[in-house]
Amino acid sequence: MLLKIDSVTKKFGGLSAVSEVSFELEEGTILGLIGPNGAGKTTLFNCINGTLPITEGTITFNGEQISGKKSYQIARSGIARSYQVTQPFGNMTTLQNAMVGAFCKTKNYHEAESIGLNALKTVQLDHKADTVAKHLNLGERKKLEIAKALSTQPQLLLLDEVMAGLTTTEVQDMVKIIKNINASGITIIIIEHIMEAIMSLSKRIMVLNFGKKIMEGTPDEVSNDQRVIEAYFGVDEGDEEYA
Amino acid sequence: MEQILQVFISGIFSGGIYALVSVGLALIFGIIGLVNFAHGEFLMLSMYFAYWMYNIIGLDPYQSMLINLAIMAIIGYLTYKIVMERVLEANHSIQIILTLALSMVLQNLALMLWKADYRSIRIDMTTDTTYVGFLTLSTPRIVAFVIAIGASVLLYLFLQKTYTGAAMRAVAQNGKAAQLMGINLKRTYGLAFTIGISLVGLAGLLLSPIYPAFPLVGSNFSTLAFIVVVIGGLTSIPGSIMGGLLIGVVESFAGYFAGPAYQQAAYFLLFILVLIFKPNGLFGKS
Amino acid sequence: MINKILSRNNSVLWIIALASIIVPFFMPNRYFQDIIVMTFLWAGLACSWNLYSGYCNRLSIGHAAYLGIGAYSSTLLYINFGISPWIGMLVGGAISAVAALIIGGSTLRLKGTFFVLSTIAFAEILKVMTITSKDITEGALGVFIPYEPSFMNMIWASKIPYAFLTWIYMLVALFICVKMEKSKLGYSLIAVGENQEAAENLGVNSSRTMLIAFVMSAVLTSFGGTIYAQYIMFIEPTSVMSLMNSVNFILLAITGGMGTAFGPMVGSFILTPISNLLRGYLSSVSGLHTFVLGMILIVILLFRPDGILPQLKLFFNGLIKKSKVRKGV
Repeated sequence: MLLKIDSVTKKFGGLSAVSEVSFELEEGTILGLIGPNGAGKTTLFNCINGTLPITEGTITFNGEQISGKKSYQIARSGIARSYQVTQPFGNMTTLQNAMVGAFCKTKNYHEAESIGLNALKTVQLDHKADTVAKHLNLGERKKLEIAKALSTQPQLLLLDEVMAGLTTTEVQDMVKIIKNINASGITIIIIEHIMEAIMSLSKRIMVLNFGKKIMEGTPDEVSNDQRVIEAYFGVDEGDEEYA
Repeated sequence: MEQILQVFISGIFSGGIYALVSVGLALIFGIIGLVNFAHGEFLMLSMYFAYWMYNIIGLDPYQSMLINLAIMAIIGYLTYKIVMERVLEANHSIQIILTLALSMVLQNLALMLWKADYRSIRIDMTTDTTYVGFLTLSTPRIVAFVIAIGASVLLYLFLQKTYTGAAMRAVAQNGKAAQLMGINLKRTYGLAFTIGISLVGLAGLLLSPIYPAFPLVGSNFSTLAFIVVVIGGLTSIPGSIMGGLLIGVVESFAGYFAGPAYQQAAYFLLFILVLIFKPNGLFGKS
Repeated sequence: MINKILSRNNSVLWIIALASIIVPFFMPNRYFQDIIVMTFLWAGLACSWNLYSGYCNRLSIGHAAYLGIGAYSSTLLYINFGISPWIGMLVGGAISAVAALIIGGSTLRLKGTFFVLSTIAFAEILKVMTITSKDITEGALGVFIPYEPSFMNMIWASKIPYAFLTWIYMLVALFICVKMEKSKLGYSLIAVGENQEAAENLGVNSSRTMLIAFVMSAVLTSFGGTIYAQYIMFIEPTSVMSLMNSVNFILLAITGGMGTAFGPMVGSFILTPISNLLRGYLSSVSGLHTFVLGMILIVILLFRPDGILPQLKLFFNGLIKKSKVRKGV
């Protein structure tokens, strides 16, 4: 078991953004994480990678408890994430951005350069290696987010809505890229709203609503599950007669 | 015991002025997000104007108050338009250095135009003292304190009770949302800056019967205002008032127990302690 | 605003830096040689400042404190115990390192404006402490260094050896910056400056990174302080640990280009001579020279906040392209 989340709760004051969520993640799989807006998906990511401390529960990665560690320590342990709202280091070039991540696992400049370049190639951004990051367009920034995370050479990659705002072609590209990343041995948890993409990528899908896990299963099981449908579309109260 | 009380009151009175200087800064930082290191220089300018009003036209500071405020408001607005408006979007580093440069320019402009001589206003009230019980209080200081606190409280009421004040508070919280509500951002910023400068100008005016004007008189007030504002919770007007009084008292006691050389160090030390242990300020929201 | 495009081709700038040692030999008299010495010294000092503040974009406006620690440490050891300033310089560096560790440890995590204010506060406190510790430091009277020229004493009759010394100091500071730019520390530092949280998510320990750079910056500045003391031969608290000096670090770095290795050097090469000449020519009107400097800074900040270096580079790149076209490349 690569990652074990045990009854994790994250409270902000009285509000539980994440409530007693538990799941286990096998190495090499892609786990899809879906749920309506505000369900707690990004918060869960923040808890896993150490950006936010958890209120209750434990998170175990590779047999080691990581709950309570700082985000840079967790990044060094092998969990990397990309951000929903892209956060490039605007005044550095694309390659330099990736190299920041590469230095996580190496001290050598040339090694970092080649790791960074490889990460860029994986996301098909190497032709923009020398472009200053603030000049990239949205699709390229999304790719750079992934490249930065990739260059830390993680075991587990957390992708947060990397396809939001992309065109259909860009989405298809992204699906291919993510499949390639997974094929190279990296475990992935992916938050996404674009259903076709997440259904085709994920081996298993977990559904959150109001901070609670309401269901976990294969894509087929999830898309046919009543609770999931209700979460997204509301409860069917039967036909009402309107005067 | 009587000595202690005297020192304390003296500190409170100084603190009133510090409060007035600082609420202007808190206003500017809270609403515009601008770090104004040249704040004290406007106090310096106001003191010079008060001096000229007295020496050329014969109006004492209390008589020339409205004219002085008008001049300071104009200067404040012009400074906003010419210098500050351009760097609203820039990061704080640029604003800090820019306003530092502005303070260098203003200080040396004063030095060039008016020389380093100390310019004092001596009016009848300057040497007046009022006796309250066993306390000996300098009358101009009492007047300064009353007006300073009065103006600060007026500012607070303005922000809380008027529509424009509410608009300013809205901008302070979320500029974009405020714009969506129809609030003109630039005009609000301009108004906030102008009011802030007018207040620090008022402080200068109130100081002029007590203190001489000279080019560098403002620089201590700039640093001090920042310290007060931080201790007071950065954007809180009541916080700045309390912070100003506190600094005045600390300064006064430090001077009494340790000597004038240690006064500045005393409140700098307090400042560093607050920064480390209570960075949201002693009086602000935590 | 800050141009962090890490300079990939510094050869021209290195040539300028190395060749600049020729200049003092062409200076007609001691007055101009003095300007060159100060130019090199401030280039080194501004680079030292830039090492932390420029790269991670968090301004220290209190670096004059480390100038002071360096100056006073070596001077007091020399006056009281006859210890060579070369050793004194190292001692000063060690003291600065400790001071930076303590100050940095408590204030580096503060956000932008707070950090800046704390640096000013620390410099002020240090100045006051120096003035009030009369027994050790002679307080506001200052300390005179007796004129006994020798290499061991870091005192010379001619300005030329001083020019060499400050030139080497500048080169050392430049070298450290350039090396750092292409290292893990440099990349981590710049990333922290751009977006601290994003950097932490990529495994950067931001507190440690900033602390290391801050201490390095303080130590380097402190070395410059010793050289300063041995050159001017007189130190006193209000002129050494002044806000004016602290602002000068920033002025030079920004003019040339903050966050680039050679920016501070360019800034000093341009501004230090101008500033000194202005002070000479405009000395009749008190305050005019600082006024002009302030106006220059304002104009740069309003219209060219990235500094002059990027413009120069574009200009040179343009020239190179034009010459290549002419050669038919």
